[in-house]
Amino acid sequence: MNGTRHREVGEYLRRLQRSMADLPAERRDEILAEIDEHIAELLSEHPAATDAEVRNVLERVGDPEDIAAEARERFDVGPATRFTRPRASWTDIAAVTLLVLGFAMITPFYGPERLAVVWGASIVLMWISEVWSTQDKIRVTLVLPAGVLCAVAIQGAGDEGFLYFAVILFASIWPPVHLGLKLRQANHAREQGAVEGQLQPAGTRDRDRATRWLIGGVLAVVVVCAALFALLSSPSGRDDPLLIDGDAPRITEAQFDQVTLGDSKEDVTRILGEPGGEGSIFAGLDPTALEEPTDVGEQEFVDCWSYSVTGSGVGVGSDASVCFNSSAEVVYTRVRIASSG
Amino acid sequence: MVAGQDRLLTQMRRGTLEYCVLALLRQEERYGFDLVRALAAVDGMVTSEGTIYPLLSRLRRDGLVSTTWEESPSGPPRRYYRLTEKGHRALGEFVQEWQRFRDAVDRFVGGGAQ
Repeated sequence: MNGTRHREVGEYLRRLQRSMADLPAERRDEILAEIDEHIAELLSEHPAATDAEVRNVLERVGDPEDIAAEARERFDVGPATRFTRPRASWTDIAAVTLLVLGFAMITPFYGPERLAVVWGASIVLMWISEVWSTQDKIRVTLVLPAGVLCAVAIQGAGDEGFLYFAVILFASIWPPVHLGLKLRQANHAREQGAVEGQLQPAGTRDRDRATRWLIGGVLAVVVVCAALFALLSSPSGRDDPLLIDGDAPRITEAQFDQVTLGDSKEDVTRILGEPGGEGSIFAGLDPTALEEPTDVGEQEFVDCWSYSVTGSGVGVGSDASVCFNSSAEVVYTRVRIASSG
Repeated sequence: MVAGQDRLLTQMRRGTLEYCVLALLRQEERYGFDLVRALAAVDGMVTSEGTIYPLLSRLRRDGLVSTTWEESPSGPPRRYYRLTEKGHRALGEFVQEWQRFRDAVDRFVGGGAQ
C-alpha cells in the first residue's frame, strides 16, 4: 500500500467511518480496511492519478451512506440513528471554574461553608451538563463532600492531622482536573468528527436532557436549603470555629461592675462565665473556683468564683472575686483592676 | 416503477447476491478485489463496488467463506476468499431451490413463449 494516500481518499474513508458509526466496531473496521485496500488496488492501476481519476474511482466504490445502509441490512442494525456529539456549553466551563475556585479557597481556609456553597454550585452545573458521563458525575459528587467533611473536621478538631489535609487536597484538585480533561477530550473529538467516544442517538437526547435538568434542579434546591440552613443557624461568636483567639470581646471594667450584690449565680454565669463551664464569652478571662478566698470578710458564703484577666482586656493582672450564699445570691464582690500598661 | 416493486427487486437482489458470491468461489479461491470486480461487472446486481464488502464481511462471520492472506509478487499481501464446507452446502441447497423457483416463475411470466 502506498505510504501517502491521496487526500480525497482519506476524506472518503473518514466519511465512510462516520456513516458506519452505529455499526459494531469489529464489522466497521473490517469493512473499512477492505475498502481501503480496494481503493488502493484500483489506484495502483493509475500510478499518477489525477484528482478526476481519483474521484472516478471513489464513485465506483460508491456513496458511503449506501455502503453503510447495506452494512446495516446485512448485520440487522436498525435504521441509522442520527448521532450527536455532546457539546460543551458555558455552564460546563463555569462548573470547572468553580471547582478551581474551590481549590483556591482551601488554602487561606475560607471555611467549609463557603467551600460547600461553591462546590455545591459546581455540582449542580456539572449534573446538567451533557459532556460528562454519569459515572464521572457520580465520582465527583462523592469526592467533593468528602473534602468538605474533612474541612469541617479540621476546623472542629484543630489540626487533626495530615490525612484530613490530604483528602481536602485531593478533593479540590482531582475533580477540576478530571472534568477539565474530559471536557477538552469531548471538544477535541467533536472537532475531529471522531467515531469513538460518547455518542448519543438523537431521539433520546431530549429525554436525557430533561433527566439531567431534573437532577440538577433537585441538587440546586438541596444546596440552597443547606446554604440557608448554615446561614441562619450560624451560632453566636462562642462556637464560631472561624474566630481566632483575639477576636472575642474583651471584658471591660463596666462589665465587671455589672455584677452587683444580690445578683444570682445565673446572672453571674451569663455575664462573666462560670468555672468549669464553657468559659467566659470574654477572651482572656479565666473563671476558677476558689477554695477559700482570703479577704472576703465576715459574710456567710458557700462558694466563690475568681476571675483573673490574662489577655489584654481590662489590664493583665486584674482580677475579681464573686461569692455566693446558700441561696445562690451574690453576697460579695471584689474587683481589682490593674493599671493598664 | 411502484415503490413496493422497487423494494422487492432490491430485496431479491440482496438475497441472491450472496449466492452469486458463493458460486463465484465454487471452483477456486479468488482474490477479494477480483471477486468484487466480477460482481460489479454484471449489470443489475450491485449498485456500487463498495456495497459488496458488507456482504463479504457477513459471509465471513457466518462461516460460509474464509479468507487467507497470500503474498503477492507486486505489492502488499492480498486477501483470498474461499468457500468453506458450510458454504458449499449452502450453495448447493440454494441452487436446487433457485432452479425450482426460477422455473416456476418463468412458467407464469414466460421466459419467452407462453
